[in-house]
Amino acid sequence: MSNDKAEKKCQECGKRKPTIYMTDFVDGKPVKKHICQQCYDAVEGAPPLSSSELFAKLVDILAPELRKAGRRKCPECGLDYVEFRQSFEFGCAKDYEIFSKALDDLFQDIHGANRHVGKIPEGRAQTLFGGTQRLRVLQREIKKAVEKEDFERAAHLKTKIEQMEQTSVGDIIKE
Amino acid sequence: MLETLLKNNTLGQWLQGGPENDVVLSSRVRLARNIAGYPFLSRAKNPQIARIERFVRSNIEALDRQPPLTYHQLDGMESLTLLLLVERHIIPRDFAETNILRGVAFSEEEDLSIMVNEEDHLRIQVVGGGLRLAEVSERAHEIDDVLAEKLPYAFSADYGYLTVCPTNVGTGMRASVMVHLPAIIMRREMDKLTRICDDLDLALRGLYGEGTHGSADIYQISNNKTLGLSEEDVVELVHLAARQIIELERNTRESIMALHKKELAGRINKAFHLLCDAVSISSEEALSLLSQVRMGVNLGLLENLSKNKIDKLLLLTLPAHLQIILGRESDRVERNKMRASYIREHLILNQKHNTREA
Ligand SMILES: [Zn+2]
Ligand SMILES: [Zn+2]
Repeated sequence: MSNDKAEKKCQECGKRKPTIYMTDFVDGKPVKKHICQQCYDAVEGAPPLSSSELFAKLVDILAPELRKAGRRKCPECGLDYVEFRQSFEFGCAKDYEIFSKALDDLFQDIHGANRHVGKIPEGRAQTLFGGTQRLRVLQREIKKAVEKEDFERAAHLKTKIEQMEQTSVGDIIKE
Repeated sequence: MLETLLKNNTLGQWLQGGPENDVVLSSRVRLARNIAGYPFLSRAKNPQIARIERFVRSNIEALDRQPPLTYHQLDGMESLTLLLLVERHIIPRDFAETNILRGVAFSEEEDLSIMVNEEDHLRIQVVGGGLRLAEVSERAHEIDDVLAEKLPYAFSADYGYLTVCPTNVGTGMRASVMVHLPAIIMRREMDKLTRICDDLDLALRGLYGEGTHGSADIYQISNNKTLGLSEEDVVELVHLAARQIIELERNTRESIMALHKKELAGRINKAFHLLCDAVSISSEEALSLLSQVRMGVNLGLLENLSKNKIDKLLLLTLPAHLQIILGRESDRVERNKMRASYIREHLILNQKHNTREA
């Protein structure tokens, strides 16, 4: 019905959870597909593998990503990159930081981009946690606005930064 | 509160009509958010899940709204009630079926629902009848801004709003329109529809039934990408697709009317009579016939019938609605009979009523 979850169904069978990005050739042109293990095996014509073989295969497929992600586990939730690619679910916000080198490529594949453009959380609660983060986005947005010669937007963003700098974490805790 | 879902006759936002309602049933925006300092639900332990639920819930209940939102925990809720919420598009099916401490708060008009511990800690959903994505998006972001005053969101400068699934990261925003496309389906113009969606990189799926086949010719179009484009970009993209699809569907309807009016009228009449005469009818059959009748009403081929009545039947003949109207749970066989008699009653009553007026 409301299909938020369905957005992550395998592009081949439309049923299972996709875990593998593969490049297929349609009319000689490469087409990126996000598919499940079973369909990947079917496409490759491979016989069913044991779970340890599957794991080895996954590690093999993920080799280029793993070189960038490293074998490190997230210190906060314990997730490692292979587990992430198997479940296609992050375990906590920290994972995005730990695996960022590999994620830049992965997001480029999924979204055709790897940097956020758009809204920044505005509430007071955000300043406590995300002050420096917000500052970085704002600075990037200003640069973009200036490049586009949208000086009105650039000025507006500058005001936002000034406002942020005036609100200290201490003010919020006092409230 | 849940009982009033049926009694107050609001029937959900997607049946309220609105701009371009002959093709677009409703517009929807959904925002995914997580709370900083807690693990995502994929790795959270039960005590943490309970703390997240309490924290988010208390902030939803504190929202200054008239009438206030009521929060419903889904655990222990009867399965029929859960299914009712699903059919009403207040929660997605997966959310009804999972098994962790979770809940939903929704407005009386059913235009706003806020889910706690869905795939992400928080999901804000706003729906409006017809094509009105920009307005719906603005309302969703207003609620988001108010909640952001109290809830520290998991956010990164590089990747935006951080979500469980990498396909939601960035804006965390999914904008969609629900469209009724009987003519496109009848003329087998699906490839044109697919091309519009592919060109704009949007997802297309049938609302009822498996895969891309929709048994009521109702489809949902939504953005695939959430990273690297702004909220406004997303709204613009889906709106643009909606406009192109509206044009395609209307042109196709017109061309059928110009070339095959008789056959079409015959077919729609047949659908209408099948609905009136059926002794037993499945949900899928009913949806498919009602879809044709809806197009007939839109094209003026079935005069003594209101579109609103058909839209109501599209909803009220779904399994959970039907069982609640009947006041009891029933098996498929009995339900199919009840559905047939319910539809008959409403269509024939409608006809009599209109004859009297005329
Ligand atoms: Zn598959
Ligand atoms: Zn982690």
